[in-house]
Amino acid sequence: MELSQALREMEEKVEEILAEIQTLRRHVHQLEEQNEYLRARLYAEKIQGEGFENLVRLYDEGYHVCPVHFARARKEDCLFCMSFLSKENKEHGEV
Amino acid sequence: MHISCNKDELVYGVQVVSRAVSNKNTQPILSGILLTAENNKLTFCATDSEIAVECAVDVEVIEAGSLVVPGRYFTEMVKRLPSGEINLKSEDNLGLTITYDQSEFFINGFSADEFPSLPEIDENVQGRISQGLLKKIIRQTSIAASNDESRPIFTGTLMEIIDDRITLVTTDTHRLSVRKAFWQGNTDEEKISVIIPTKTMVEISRIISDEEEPITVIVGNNQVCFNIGTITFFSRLIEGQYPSYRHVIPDSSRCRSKVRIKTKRLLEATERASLLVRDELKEKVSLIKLNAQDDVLKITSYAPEIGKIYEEMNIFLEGEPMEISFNSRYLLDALKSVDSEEIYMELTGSLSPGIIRPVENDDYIYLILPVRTD
Repeated sequence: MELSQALREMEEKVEEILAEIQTLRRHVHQLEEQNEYLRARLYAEKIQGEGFENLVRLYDEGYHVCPVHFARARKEDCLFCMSFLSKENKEHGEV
Repeated sequence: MHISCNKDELVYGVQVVSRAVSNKNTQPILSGILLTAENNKLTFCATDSEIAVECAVDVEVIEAGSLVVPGRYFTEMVKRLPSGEINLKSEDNLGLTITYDQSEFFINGFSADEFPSLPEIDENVQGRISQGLLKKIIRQTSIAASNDESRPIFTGTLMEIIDDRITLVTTDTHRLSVRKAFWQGNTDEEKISVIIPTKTMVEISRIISDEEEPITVIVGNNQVCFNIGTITFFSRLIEGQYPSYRHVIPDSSRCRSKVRIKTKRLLEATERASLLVRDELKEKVSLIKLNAQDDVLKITSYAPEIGKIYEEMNIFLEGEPMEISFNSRYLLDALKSVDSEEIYMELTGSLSPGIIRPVENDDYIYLILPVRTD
């Protein structure tokens, strides 16, 4: 009897944890969507107004500036960012 | 189903399809191999939803039929069977009896009706290319593809087809590999551009031979299919737009230093230099510094905890002296796959991507970003 009681309790706990996971999953999804939206907005703003220096700074701080991965963290140099910066740089001198 | 065949044919069929057998438990039927016996052929089929492989071998069909057998057990058993004649018999969907010499082995099975049917290709373009050439161009491009599943597009190989030219492109955003080749194909469309999972390309290169014999490639909207004799290989395509890779390749008019080097000599030196990286720092790259001046290339690598290396080799240098550092692994990958006795290394600056290509032609271009050492 003790064993079945323990099993029931464990089942309840597992169900609670599963419900918690579902809630977390929803939160993560919302945050991801929000992040994508903010990334897109940031990209649009950077491209439109604030100019080349900001892009270079963003890149040097360790973020992508290429359209494919804009504002995502990067570890190594990225061919697409470098090419993008070098294209943008034509009127601004060497990177 | 009842057939009689030779062990070697069974082993061949099983080995061809076994890589497509799913390891995941979500759909148990996909962990099986579908066996279909008819018209004196035994057809093996396996799929993991990403790829599907079908292979037919000649056998003596005593009674036609089909059955799904568990992939892993069947494969291991078949490999261990004695040489000679083997009998496979299944009277219902419950299992398969394998008879050899005076012995028999029974393995549980599933009904063939549960096995998914193979995809139908809505054909856009079809062409042929020699197996040996396809194997080579896959080897030359698969090295630069990314393993990072969070960015699926870069795990793929871009296949572009324009008239009689086929181009494979891969990049992990730190390096880029572009290989052009001729193929015999026809398409009504001006340009076909699809992204095939690089894992699929590598599997294809394992199945095909080094021979001239052609392989047929059929590209559809959502799938690609490769056909070699009795083997048919399907794969899904990766959805999305491949970034414009041509903009990344520096214009040759901007090249400031063009170095002609013996590939083997540089490869061996790079292999020695790349030893200077500590195991516990796997994330840290092994850097190799190249200094080209007066027709001499100096190669150095330094790891404070282990030691340092210095090598010199003769080169032909056109243009300015140049110093540049590369991740030695990226450089090694290029030198191993370039397949040319001599290469050109074209450099436009110590921070701009370097181009490696064979001396003979422009069919293969490998681009590497240098590492900043400041």
